[in-house]
Amino acid sequence: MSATATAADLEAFRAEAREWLAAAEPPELPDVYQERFRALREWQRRLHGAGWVGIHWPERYGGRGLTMRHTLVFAEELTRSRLPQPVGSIGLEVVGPTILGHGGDELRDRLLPRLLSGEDLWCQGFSEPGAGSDLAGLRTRAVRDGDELVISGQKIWTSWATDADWCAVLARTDPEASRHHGISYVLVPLDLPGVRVAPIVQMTGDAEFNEIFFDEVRVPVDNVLAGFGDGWRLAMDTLGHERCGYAIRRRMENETAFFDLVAALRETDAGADLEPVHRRELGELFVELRAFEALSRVSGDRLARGEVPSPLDSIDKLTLTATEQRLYEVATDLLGPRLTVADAEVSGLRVEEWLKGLLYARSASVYGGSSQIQRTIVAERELGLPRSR
Amino acid sequence: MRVGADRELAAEFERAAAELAEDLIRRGVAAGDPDPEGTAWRGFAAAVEAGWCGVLLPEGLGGLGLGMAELGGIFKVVGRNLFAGPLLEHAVAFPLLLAAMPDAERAAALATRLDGSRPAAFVDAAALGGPVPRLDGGALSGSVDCVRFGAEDTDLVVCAEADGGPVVVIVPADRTGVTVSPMESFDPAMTVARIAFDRVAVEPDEALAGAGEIDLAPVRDGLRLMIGCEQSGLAERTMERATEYAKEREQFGRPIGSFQAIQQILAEMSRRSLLLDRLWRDAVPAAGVAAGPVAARVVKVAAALYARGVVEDALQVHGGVAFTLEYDLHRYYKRVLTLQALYGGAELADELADRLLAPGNDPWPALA
Repeated sequence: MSATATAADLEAFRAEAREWLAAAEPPELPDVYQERFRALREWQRRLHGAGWVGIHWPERYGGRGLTMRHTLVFAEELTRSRLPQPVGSIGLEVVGPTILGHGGDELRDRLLPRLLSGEDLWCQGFSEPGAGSDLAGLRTRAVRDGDELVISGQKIWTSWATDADWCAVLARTDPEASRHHGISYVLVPLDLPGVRVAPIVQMTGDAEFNEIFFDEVRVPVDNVLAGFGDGWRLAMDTLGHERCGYAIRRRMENETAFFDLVAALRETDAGADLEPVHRRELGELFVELRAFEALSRVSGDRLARGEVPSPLDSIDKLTLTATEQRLYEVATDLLGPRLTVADAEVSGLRVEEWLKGLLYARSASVYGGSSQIQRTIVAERELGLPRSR
Repeated sequence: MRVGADRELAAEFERAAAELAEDLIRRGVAAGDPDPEGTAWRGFAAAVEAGWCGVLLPEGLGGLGLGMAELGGIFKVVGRNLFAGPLLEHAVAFPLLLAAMPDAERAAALATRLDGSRPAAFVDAAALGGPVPRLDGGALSGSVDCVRFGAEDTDLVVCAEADGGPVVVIVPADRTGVTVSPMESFDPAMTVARIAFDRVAVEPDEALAGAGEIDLAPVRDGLRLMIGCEQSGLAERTMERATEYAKEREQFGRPIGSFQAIQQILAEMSRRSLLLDRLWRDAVPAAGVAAGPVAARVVKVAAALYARGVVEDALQVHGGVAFTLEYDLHRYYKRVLTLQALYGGAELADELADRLLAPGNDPWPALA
């Protein structure tokens, strides 16, 4: 990321992106989750082929060697075009940067080009049935046997695992070490014997997340990223990227949804008859989204300077949660009593779509560290309050 | 796109303002206290001396000719330190009005009269809503309630309605027909008064411009934006003070800041305070004095959504002591409430919604 970007560079890049996106054939997105996923995978391949994936990644791995600002500009334009993001977001934004930052040359050369192109999709095996907010309480074990590690245990809430090729697994490699020091970050192919993925259907109806069972799964010791016992440090790094980077991208999607909502109200003239309370809510929501935009602009600079992880990532995540939940609350308030009829359309809004968004938004205050955990991080690390335990 | 040099200049102004505030504290002067003589506000006098009233004023009128970005940081400091006195009037409203005057020579003469050496009041019914005074045939009539610093014996800059449109006039408070009735002020760092005009004679050269010649909307938007900055300062300082207090105050044998119930409140205060700070810095124009109607409303609504709640949470974290008159936290609360009421709070969100829903408006540029 040695490249720098002037305002003129970025505007030229934006124009280039707009032109390509305007001409691009939008992918058809079936309602059925599995089919939709396949279509999105093909979409990532097309984006990558045209140079729109890995924009700020080194050219050595198939990136373009530009800056994080370029990446954010493209994400903005992609969202504005109402076109989907590349499907391998866990790889691109979470696991990938961790491999890039901590992996040796051999691992990076082998894994990163396929990660960018979407040939390999990644998922992240952190949470366990007994280790949610208390992530360091994880019990999946990886025991060394010569040049191999033997992994046994169970992960849960792993998004997109059914379609993933690899999983970044946090496993306990030293049961004698203290909770945080005995953990390693292990890269595990999901096609190995002993791996079983079991989808969990969410309240939205999608089976986006899963359980993964590891029954004596053998991987080479070289698949340990950084060193044995470095897992916790890497996980914190990863979660910083997840909170900050994901929040920035998801914010753009929420803004698009907000303007779709506004456009629907306008086109059906429902906007003119809006109840005063809904009008107020709509205006306030715009302000909240605008404030989040301002916050995330500074966070984008922080991300570009490599100042991640930071307790400020938690402020991004908390704000994403607050605005996303508010967005869908306001939208579904507007639907009124027709909210109960999933296939109805009210004021140009497809009830099913907004209802699904409302349900999905509830997960925002839980995934990637619950809101309560985020506030504890802010309290202890940003405000310097005494530890609560 | 904002240029780095602008931001550096703005940061310099903010630093200098913070140093002035620290200097006052070192000298034992509370910026929010009235002068013992009762004639002026000490923080205001220091601010005038430091040149804050000239930041927005065009160079041709003896000012610095800078913009909202430079003044925003100063108002943040005003909020953090509870500076008292008619700063919004002298540093924002009057410079913007003077700059809008078509007659530069008269503007220069008025700039001297309104330079802050004698505080003046801005009699603008739009600040809190209410009927607008009328100017008919050189006679001003009407009454405006709750005029900030209107009880001082001073000049009155009055927004009135004439047949040809809005007009702004300047009249001394002791002019025949002017009745100043002091009202009890909720904010101890402010006086308020009802000012009534009973066929007050206004000379033609006391009008800043002809009727309809000065657009008051940008002046009020500038005020909204700077009030938002001041509210941001109030929120940030009370958040810091509550954090400091939570580290020191012990209950159950440990600092209350080690309890998660308190930590969660403080973390949320810090988030909201940061959001408001990031927002006004992003929304303030990079150069110039045009706040813009959307940006001004966005900041003012955000201040209503975030700042008041932060100050209320600071009261909660401080417990019983927060409710005493002796401990000064209540001053922040009173200030944040009075500022929120000026030129509209959350209700400005309705106007934003109308703008979003207006047909033909492309929603994306509405964000800009």
